[in-house]
Amino acid sequence: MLISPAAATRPRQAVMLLLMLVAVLMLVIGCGGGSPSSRGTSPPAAGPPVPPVANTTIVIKNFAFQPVPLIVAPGSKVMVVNEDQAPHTVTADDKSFDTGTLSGGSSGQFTAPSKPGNYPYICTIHQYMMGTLVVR
Amino acid sequence: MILLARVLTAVGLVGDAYVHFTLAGMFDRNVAVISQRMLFRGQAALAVLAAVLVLVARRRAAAVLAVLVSASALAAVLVYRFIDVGALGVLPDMYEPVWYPEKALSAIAEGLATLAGITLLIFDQRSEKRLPAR
Repeated sequence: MLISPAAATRPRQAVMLLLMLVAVLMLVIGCGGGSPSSRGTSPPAAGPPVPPVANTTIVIKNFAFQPVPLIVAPGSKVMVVNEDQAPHTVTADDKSFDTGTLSGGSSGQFTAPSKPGNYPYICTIHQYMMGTLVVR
Repeated sequence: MILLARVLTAVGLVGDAYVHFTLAGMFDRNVAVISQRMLFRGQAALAVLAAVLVLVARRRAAAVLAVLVSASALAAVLVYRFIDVGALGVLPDMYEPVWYPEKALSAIAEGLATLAGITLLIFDQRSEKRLPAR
């Protein structure tokens, strides 16, 4: 870079110019916010949207299933967490899935049916506890 | 001995009441004409009343009430544990063929209150018989 004779004779102005340049650069970086990789975020790509991570867990708490209904993909693994002290089961009405007895504080899992549809289920120990698994 | 029996009866009844109050809210979906929640709350209230009367009133009727409350609760928990009687009239189906800590605690507390209450009745009766002889 060539420095003009005028700048060379006025080193203070050159230093000031440099400081201003640095300040402007810092301001630009600061306004951009975040890491360099997050700057210049472009709109979502035109491709298919990435689905959020699906919830595949049934929680049993206070003698109730949550969530109802639970929507899962065909054949997916469904986790069951029993947060009660009492034992429970998750048993499909058509017996297409059954966790067996889950003692208090334990967990288990089953494989969702491969055929899409609504699958009502109950706790066979407390038959008023009802839920629905939606496979689609 | 009478004092010990009185205290143990009350302790058992309070334990029974505690478990029933704690569990009541979990059974509000089990309904016939009345819900299991209402039954549990009623049982808990009766147990507290009986415990207070056993300690304060110190009458035979209080001990009789305590034994009735605890023995009926013990009978119910055992029947519904082992026999599927289904819904009975206004009562919901409370069949639950398993044990778990809270349920076991209630059964132990009811058993304790029943035994201590019967002991109280027996010793109370003996002491009453001795009184006229003095």
